[in-house]
Amino acid sequence: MSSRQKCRLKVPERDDLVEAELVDELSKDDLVRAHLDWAPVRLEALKRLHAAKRPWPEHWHWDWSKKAEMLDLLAYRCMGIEQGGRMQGLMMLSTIAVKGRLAVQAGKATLYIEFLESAPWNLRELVGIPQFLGVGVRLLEAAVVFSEEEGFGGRIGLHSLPQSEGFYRKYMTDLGLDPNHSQRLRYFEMGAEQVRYFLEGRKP
Amino acid sequence: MRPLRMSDELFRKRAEEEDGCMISAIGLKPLFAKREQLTQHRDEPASEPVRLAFSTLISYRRRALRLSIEALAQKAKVELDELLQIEEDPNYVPEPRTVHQLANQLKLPIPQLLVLSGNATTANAELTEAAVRFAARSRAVERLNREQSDALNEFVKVLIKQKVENIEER
Repeated sequence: MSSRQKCRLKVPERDDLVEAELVDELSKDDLVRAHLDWAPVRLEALKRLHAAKRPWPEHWHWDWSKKAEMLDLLAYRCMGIEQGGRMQGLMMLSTIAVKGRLAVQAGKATLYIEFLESAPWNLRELVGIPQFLGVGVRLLEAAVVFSEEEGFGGRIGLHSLPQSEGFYRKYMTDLGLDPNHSQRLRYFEMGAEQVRYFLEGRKP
Repeated sequence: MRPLRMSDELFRKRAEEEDGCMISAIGLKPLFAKREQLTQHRDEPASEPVRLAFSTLISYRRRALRLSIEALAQKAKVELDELLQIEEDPNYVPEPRTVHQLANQLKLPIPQLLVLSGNATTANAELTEAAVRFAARSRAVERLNREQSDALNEFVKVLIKQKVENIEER
């Protein structure tokens, strides 16, 4: 059963935070709506990047309406951050635990993030001035809280596209290129101590 | 779900840290197994110039027929962003349906395009060699010059002449 809770997002260059909502279980229709909302913005941004001969983001072709099929399976759950009636970011979680790879939590149940993406208008690379900051942080926070709720102790893991590695490296351990990943991406994991640093600012 | 608990003060800091970062992650085993297999296929060294030949062929052929990207997307009933991706990203493997639609609109042979696009395999080495030669001669410019037109025409002749039998569609 889907539920909503208040959260906040940051507006660039301003100190105040704006109210938003974390929706913890999105439907297939929600994903299709988000895709229809994001696609034209992304396309315009790509045209600008193309004209400026600048590289495109690696995830630009993602189509969340196609990922909606995954929600037919109990193994997947999708969350989103909504503000102003628009999805600001989406995250697909696997509810089947994977085994932790960090030495301190090797073999322990870990929540795996299948997909994570911020809306195109929140990416400086695409639009110049993002509408909101902190969407990725909020989604990671939601993943940690969900991991705690599921009994995984806040442990989370994901494979990052190369363009995003810098972001995850701030809060997670880079466990290197994963030869088992179809795109040989780097695997990142957040353990209990890193959770405390990420959520509470306490240095390990 | 339990409440989020990051303080506003810390969130401000984290949000600033996020500024300028691309936010994306992609799963180990996404359900699109077919796409995953194709991605693995992409890693085979020999296929890279062939895929480059495919994206260049689509682009050249479209321009030779004086079609804009938008016009071709509309005629072929293909999403504009997918067509952009086909022309710009040689690593992208389009769906077979898309290849069929483009082949029809661009008047190119379907089996050969399925091979070039990474949707099918064939043991026909001549086709691969022709694709590699074409890719080597290709340059991305707005208007085709004589040399590029010649390269395109030669490659299309080879495509049409080549028999692609017993293809194994993925």
